[in-house]
Amino acid sequence: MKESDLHFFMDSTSNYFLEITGEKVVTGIPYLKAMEPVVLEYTGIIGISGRRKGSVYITSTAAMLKELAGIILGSDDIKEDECKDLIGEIANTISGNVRQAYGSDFMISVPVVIKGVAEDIHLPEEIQSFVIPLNWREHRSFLVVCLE
Amino acid sequence: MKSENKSWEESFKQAFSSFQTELDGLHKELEREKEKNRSFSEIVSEGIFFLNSAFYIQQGYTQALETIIDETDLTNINFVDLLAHRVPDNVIQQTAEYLEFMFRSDLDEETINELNQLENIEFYYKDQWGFWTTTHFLSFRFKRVYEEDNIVALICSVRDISREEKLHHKLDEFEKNTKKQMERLVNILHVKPALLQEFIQLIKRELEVINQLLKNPDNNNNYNKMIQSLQRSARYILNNAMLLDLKFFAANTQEFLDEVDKLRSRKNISGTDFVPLVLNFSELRLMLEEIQELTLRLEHFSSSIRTTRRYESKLLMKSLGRMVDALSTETHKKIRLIHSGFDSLTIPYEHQQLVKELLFSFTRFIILYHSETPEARRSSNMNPEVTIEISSSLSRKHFDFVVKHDGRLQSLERIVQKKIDETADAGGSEYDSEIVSQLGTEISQLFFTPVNLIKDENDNEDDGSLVSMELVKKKLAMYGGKTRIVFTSELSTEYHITIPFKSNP
Repeated sequence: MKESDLHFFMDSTSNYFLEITGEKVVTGIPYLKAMEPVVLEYTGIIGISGRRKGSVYITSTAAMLKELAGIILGSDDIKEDECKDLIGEIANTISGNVRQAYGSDFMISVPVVIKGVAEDIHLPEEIQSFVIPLNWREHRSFLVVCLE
Repeated sequence: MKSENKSWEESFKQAFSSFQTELDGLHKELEREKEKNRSFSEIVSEGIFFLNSAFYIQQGYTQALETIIDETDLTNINFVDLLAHRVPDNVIQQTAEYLEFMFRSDLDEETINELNQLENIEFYYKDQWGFWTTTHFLSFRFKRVYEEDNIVALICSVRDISREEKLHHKLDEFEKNTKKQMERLVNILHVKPALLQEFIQLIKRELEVINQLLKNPDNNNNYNKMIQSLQRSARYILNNAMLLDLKFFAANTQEFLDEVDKLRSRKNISGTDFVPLVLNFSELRLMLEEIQELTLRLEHFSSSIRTTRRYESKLLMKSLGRMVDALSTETHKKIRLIHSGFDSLTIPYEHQQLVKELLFSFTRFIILYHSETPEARRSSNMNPEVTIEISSSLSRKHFDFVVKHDGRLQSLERIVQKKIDETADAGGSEYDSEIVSQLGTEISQLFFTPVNLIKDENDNEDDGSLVSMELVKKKLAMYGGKTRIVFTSELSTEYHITIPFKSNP
């Protein structure tokens, strides 16, 4: 993993929040993912293959997604499905940006959304994963990047 | 008429029967042929199929194609579309162009074949959730099929070359790693396995400290304290790596330390500023794992290739000298290290790491806090060079060593002055033996009390060496060791350290 890769994913996520909400997301200090799971209520995952392999996922709480969806939809009544759609959309945005930035010799999968706190998200063990905490308003979510 | 009809009927029957027999024969032949083809298709391990000029897979492909592609009913499926999400987009695009060229009779087939991107391609397979779970290396080959000088189709073959390809990759990887591991092996061979094990444990612990610091930073995003702790840990790791002359590890730790220094000098630090540092940290962890792996491999024949203690002894002084040089340059001070009276060979085996840590910590402490710049010393009519002299001795019950220096004792002087003033105010004599004794105790306490108590409130510079000293002091106490400060003359101070034998914590 290169410095520019990690910066790219951080900036990409940060820009999404800024564009959608007009507010910056505060990225915390990245750290190395160990054995302990980093999974919240909703998770959007994309796979990366081709010249370099890996996975990227964003995991968030229902509360944060509801507040975010509220801003986008202008409503307070946010259903579970809308939370799922939103986490999928965030993952999709990251995926789109990756596709744009990394070129066509990379393969980016369609985002897969998981609802509910899974035991963990299985990532390739031989590649070091980095966890980037994202703080938006009083909420915290995580971006996990695993790329060889 | 009747007989004519009968004859015609018989002829018809005979003819019909003959046709029927022939038809049955043809049916049987067709069935046999089909069976033969089916058997052939099942036996052939290569996927063989035909593509028309629109790149559609034609009927009659071999069974192996479905197995290799992991798809059924491939007849009339567009081959280029089949590649989507299985190979990178640029490969798909180039393959479409290549196939178009293959149908152009004005282009030479052999030349065009060089454009085949699928000759050795990693093919991705998805699971039910849409994740790429497995990959296989496939080799596709294409050949023109002519009919009256016109290219009517392409006969294509695909075979799974994963086994040989993966072995090839493994070999490449192995060769690459072997070179790196050999370099590292050469770099660690001189270190005794026990010392290396101790190093691994110490560094593992310190890396975990760093990991926790990164993982649980101050909630108020006040990173200064955390950066100081990172610096302290990095220096500790660096000193230990230098002690064992693990060059590659020391070099990487230095890079980490440089990143910490960059953060220190930065204003308004955010999480993204830590990216290079975190990546560096990841490298360090990986490197330690490699050392550990190498140590395990070395374990069974380490005794035969172990270096001599004489070499290790030289190494200790060399490392200490290197640290003195580095710190002198960094702090713009002139330091002379004398170690002719120190015999590393007499350090008890079980205390080697402890003695090394103590030597490094004391020397570092003296350079940073008790040594003046050459200008300051010149203005006090002193030799611009601070001398640090180390010596050792061995008795039946303990190992002793002395660290002597002629630098200033700024903090101590402050206490001495304070005591003298207090005594004078109380009407006592400056030379009262009780006071002198009390001073000695307090000076000892000063040296061995937590750093926050001796640190100047206005002094924001903490390079971590004070806290490192504390850790080493605690370790010394765990081993039942003792230390005392002796003023041999007005110009020099001695730290006497005693470590009893067989005193493990």
